[in-house]
Amino acid sequence: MVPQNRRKHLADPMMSPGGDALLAGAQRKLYTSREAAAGGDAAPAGGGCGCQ
Amino acid sequence: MRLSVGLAAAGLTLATAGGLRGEEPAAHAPAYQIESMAARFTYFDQDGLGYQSAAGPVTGPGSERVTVSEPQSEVVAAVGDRMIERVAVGFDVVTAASPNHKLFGLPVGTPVDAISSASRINEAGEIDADTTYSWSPTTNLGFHADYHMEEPLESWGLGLLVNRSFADDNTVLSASLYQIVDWFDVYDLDGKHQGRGARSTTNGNFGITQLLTPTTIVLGGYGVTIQTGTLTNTWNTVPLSNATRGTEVVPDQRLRHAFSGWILQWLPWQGALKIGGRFYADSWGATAVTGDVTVSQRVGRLTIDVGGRYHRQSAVDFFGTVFPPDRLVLRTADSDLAALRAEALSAGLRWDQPIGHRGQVISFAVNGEHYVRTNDLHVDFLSCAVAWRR
Repeated sequence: MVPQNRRKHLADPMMSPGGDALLAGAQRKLYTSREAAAGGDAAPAGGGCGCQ
Repeated sequence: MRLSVGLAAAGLTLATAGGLRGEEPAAHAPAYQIESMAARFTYFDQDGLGYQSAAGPVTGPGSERVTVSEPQSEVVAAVGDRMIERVAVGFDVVTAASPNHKLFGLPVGTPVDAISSASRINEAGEIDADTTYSWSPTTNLGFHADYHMEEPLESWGLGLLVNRSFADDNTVLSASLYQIVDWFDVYDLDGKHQGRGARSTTNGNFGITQLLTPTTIVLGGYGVTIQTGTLTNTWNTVPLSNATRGTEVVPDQRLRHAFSGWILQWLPWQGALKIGGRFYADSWGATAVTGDVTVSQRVGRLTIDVGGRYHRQSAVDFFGTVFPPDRLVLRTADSDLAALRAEALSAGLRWDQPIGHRGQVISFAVNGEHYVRTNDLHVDFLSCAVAWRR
């Protein structure tokens, strides 16, 4: 158990897994439209654009 | 990989929105308050060769040259003391994308291909809306809706998300479900419009976020995606052994599984290390492993990010670079579905400038990435952003 008063570092923006949402979206587009292995990571694959 | 984005949205919304810090909703929150705004412009520059492209020798790979200019914007607002609303809008201006020669009156017979002269410029737009509702101090509900439009395609998506924290927010479990429907024009290889096609994408995800120590977080996730309908873009071609081109033929169903895990480690010199791994398998026979590492370092108001990514995948069962002309079997020459390795190096700089006396910050960011695939494709990615947050 990590008590709440010891979570200062965990709440730092650098520790955010997603980071900048717009940047992450652009990077996701770079990968998912060029690789066969998209999807399944809390984000659908193959839908929503003309690519497969 | 950046696959943590979705997982983070599913698993850490609660944590970063207050659960991690143990904050209760404000007693007298304003009815509506803008929390942050951001604008970003990204430019992709791709070059390479692929057998699905007819822009080359009939029996050989054709050009996959393409550039994409992508402006994006985002607004996040608090609605009352329980609801967070995020709206993002993006546009893609793509050279050499989808077939649109019909619209420009080019003659029937013009090859329909990703780089044909008929599809020199293609514009696409999308809007995403995410609502997070704090049902209780330990439970968040989320609702997602999106709409995407480009010349030959429209797409609608809906999603539901729930996450719940346990053990004083040390553990967060999440589940989400998405449904996307695509509706698009079908073209044959001589450019004739053959009515409309559709595909359905259904996606479910489960995730766990665990605080291990005061400096360590681990995340794990599993996602399954089921797709049905027309799963080709309808204008990909395959080289035939009689020196002509044929239509790509793929199954009308695809089942995808992905397992992922991340470890996030705070570094005592004002830095952070993120290491992720992912395994993927689908019913078309493709398997893949992906590794991702990012190091962040804060120097005063400047944050520096350096990252690397490695991806290796096998080909789908019906991939080839030449097919017999007399049989209509499952076949694709799409280089994205080939066995390949991809490596990427990325770097980013962000300057956070405090303004005013209430903790408001304006950020300026620049990011770049170089992506290289072993089957003759590379992409340079340059992005810049400005953001304000309360």
